Amino acid sequence: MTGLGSNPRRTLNSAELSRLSERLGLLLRVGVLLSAAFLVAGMLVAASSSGPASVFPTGSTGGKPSWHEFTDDGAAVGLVLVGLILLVATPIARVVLSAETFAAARENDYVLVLLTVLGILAASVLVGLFL
Amino acid sequence: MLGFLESIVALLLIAVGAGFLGSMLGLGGGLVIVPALVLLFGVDVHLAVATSLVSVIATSAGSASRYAGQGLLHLRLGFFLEVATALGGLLGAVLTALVLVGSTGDNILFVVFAVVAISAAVLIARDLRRGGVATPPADPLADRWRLHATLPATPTSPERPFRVGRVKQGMGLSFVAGVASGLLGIGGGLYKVPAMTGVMGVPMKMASATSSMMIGVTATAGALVFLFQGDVVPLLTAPVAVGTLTGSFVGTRIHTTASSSTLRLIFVGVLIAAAVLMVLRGLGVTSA
Repeated sequence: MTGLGSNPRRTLNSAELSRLSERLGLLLRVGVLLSAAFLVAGMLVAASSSGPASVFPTGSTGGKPSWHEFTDDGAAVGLVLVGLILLVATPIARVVLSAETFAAARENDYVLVLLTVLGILAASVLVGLFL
Repeated sequence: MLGFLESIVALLLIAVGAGFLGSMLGLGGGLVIVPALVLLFGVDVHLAVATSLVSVIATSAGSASRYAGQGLLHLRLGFFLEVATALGGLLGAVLTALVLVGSTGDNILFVVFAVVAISAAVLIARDLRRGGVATPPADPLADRWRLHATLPATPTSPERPFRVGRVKQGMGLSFVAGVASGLLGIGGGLYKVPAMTGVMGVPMKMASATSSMMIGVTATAGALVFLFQGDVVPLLTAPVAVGTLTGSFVGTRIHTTASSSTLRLIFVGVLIAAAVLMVLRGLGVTSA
């Protein structure tokens, strides 16, 4: 089956899948190392400054903290939050890169699969924010 | 009450241990991290699950990146099953973050965790995960979605094509694995790998590698719920994530054949102890 446009539909061959694997591997490695760097930086800043009294939250609502409990050490928490965002962004970026590769090969069924996964991740954000 | 520095160091050490043990046995550290946080540090179980889930993303990315270079990722199958696991992860996280709250919700979580920990202990002790992989019956879904693949050649064996089957069952089990992940802060590989090997016919090495990749997205689906609910405590999560990542990195570079059964025994012992303590907490026999 061919689609419209200059790139007829075909399936990725094993060499192309292998190449995609390598790129995904590199993406995951870079993402997690970058994330870890920010997490470590945040811990070091917290340790070197006066720091919060404890890492363990003592929120009034059954142990669940509110964010403002951690603004005493804004720089440290900020660095950690950047690290956490990079961490969750890494698998998301992996899905996006895969979708781009399958889209270029016009394996549209797998583009749909990967977009569905992205949709579920987007739903997670919305559920976390609004429920 | 531990001071700040002592807390960070204690968390790092436990997380390194969990990551190390887990990586040697092909599991994430979640099954150790959650009970450690709850039982040793008195952390609220919902926050412990959120913390563990974030660290699972880190260890998954680390191990998947290693497998990627070896051609062991079955990308199409992983992407296909991720629809089910991500949905499961979202549902599991919603249950933990929003439904199973209060002391009754906590107790249910403790008991469910204990059951899963025991099942993990049984699987590891009997090494059922390493059972033989039979070719499943023909499945038009596997043909339609181009799921048949080839295990790459190694220095000691030629490449081996294999056929995938029982796609619907595999999706169902992947969904359950996803729910367990979001619910309990674990990777879920414990269920994903047997689903791919025993049920769908994927060779073990490829199933483990692909599972490690899928775990990242599964855990992210759950972690995003917790993150935006405010359940991810930054200075608690940072040492746990860094620790498990470090432990798992070290674990994959130390290949000690002599100690693999010893490690399995240690892991089984830790899981059983954690399960017993968690169920005692859940049934109200012990308290925080």
